[in-house]
Amino acid sequence: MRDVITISGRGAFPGVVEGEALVAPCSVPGWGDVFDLKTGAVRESGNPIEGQSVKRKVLILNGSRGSTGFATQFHRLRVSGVGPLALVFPRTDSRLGATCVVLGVPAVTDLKEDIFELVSSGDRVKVDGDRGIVEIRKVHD
Amino acid sequence: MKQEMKPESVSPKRFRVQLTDEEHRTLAGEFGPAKRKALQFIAQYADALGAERLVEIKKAQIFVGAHHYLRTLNSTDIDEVISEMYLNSSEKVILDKLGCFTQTDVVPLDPENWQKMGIAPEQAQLNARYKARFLAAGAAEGGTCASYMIGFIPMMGEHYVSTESHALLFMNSMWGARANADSIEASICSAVCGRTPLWGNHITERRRGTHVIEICSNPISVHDWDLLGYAIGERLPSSAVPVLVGQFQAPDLERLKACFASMATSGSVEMCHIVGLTPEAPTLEAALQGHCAEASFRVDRDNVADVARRVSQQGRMKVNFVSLGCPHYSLKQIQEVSTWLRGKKIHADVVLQVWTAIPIRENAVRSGFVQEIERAGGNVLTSTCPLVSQTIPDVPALVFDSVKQARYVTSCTRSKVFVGPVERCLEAAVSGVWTGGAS
Repeated sequence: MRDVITISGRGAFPGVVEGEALVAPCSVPGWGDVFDLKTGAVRESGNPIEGQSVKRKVLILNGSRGSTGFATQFHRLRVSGVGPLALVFPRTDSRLGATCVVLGVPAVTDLKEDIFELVSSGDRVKVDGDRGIVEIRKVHD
Repeated sequence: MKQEMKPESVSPKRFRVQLTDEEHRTLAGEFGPAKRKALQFIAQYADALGAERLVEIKKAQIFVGAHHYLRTLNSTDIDEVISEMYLNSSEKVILDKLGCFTQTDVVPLDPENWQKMGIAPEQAQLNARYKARFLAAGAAEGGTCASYMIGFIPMMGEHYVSTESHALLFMNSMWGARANADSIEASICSAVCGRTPLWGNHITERRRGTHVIEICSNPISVHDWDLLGYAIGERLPSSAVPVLVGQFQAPDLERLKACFASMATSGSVEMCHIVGLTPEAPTLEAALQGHCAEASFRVDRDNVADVARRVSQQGRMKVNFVSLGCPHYSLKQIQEVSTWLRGKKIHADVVLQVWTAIPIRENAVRSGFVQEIERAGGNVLTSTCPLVSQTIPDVPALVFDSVKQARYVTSCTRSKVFVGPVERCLEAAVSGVWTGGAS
């Protein structure tokens, strides 16, 4: 096992931050009351991260889904004070590009490796949006 | 109002995207604070996408009005709300002038019949304030999700923005027009500054088909196309461009409207080629721009039947609410409802709503269709829908003819949600009972 797994990509929003990972393999939908705005918990029934809070997490999203209201869901999280600490997503898309801006947090995308094979929720992850690098420290082997 | 982190505090002073002299002057504030904030957002967005430069847009369709989600900010000052929620600016600026032709998307109420919907007068007054602010800045009232049905038609190669996911999929695919599903914020900022990142669907090479989908489900009805769109969307990764091939009867506007609405619900599709029908796909090779597809799959009758089982409750149940028209109905669809209802009466315990755009309703009045639907006990309403107006009644069972409306409503109600072809929805409206059965 490597102590630190480094994945290179492209910085989508500047800044450097480290925090606990929350992995969303099915992303979240773009419309509806997607998040509980008091806690930051995902409300979508059947989502693998249903009930888990994105607040101050390094959120690793597998793409975006549905409506052009996608970024707005995250905008609402930020103004409610329960937004994530950083964003990581495997491939650039328009909805996630706008999401980076409304959140204003470090973000890395266009990853050269499949991050979903390498990271688990709870791992420590450093997101360097200036250099486009993600570093994963496994908590559980 | 609570604010954890202001985007300005971490935004780059210099952008990677190449900007013109005029764009630099806009960022310096020469054209006012609203344009400066809007272009700042678009430049940050361009950097997030990795775009090299911006492109001028001539048309925008934007989702503005007293929408419920804006309450998140907990402010009664509409300029403060517009600044934060539309321009992403915690500093209050006055949105005084739009940068291109702009028409409004749906609003949270029917501007004429809001009382029939049970909307409070305060909510109607608040919406009127938003409308006044945007009209003063140069907007036109559109009031429909299906903007292309009332003349918002960007031509081949034309750059535009739209907050309506299905409409931009429709306009990109059917007319070769160019927009990305940006976000509400980005589209509004583009309307204000007249620019969008030159990225994605704005670039010819990025419009090439990535996934070839063989349609083997023999879609006939509007509902068949609705289910098919959902089945395609849910199997595609982000940013995929599907190319539909196979033996099927060419779909008309109503079928494509339904198909694209559900495809942009289950997936994030923004561009779809249909070989032999859409202008950038005279052949499969042309749609793929000479490349190989990343993946191919078939959609057959079993796949579509599986979607039908998942999106709708099954079985027989008493119903109290039937809503048709997501996306908004065309004149042809209103005529079909009117014809079907001739000599019939909506059940006394059922509310029937038919949703459309203002000018289409006017045409339907002049054609006698609205009168026939009203005589039967139904309502023809405009500019919104149950989901956007948040007027979904708290009754045991709801009926829709749209997979999109049904899916999103399911996420915000405890009611049983049924979805099916328009004829079955109308049968339920008349009998007061949903009868299930095979799609």
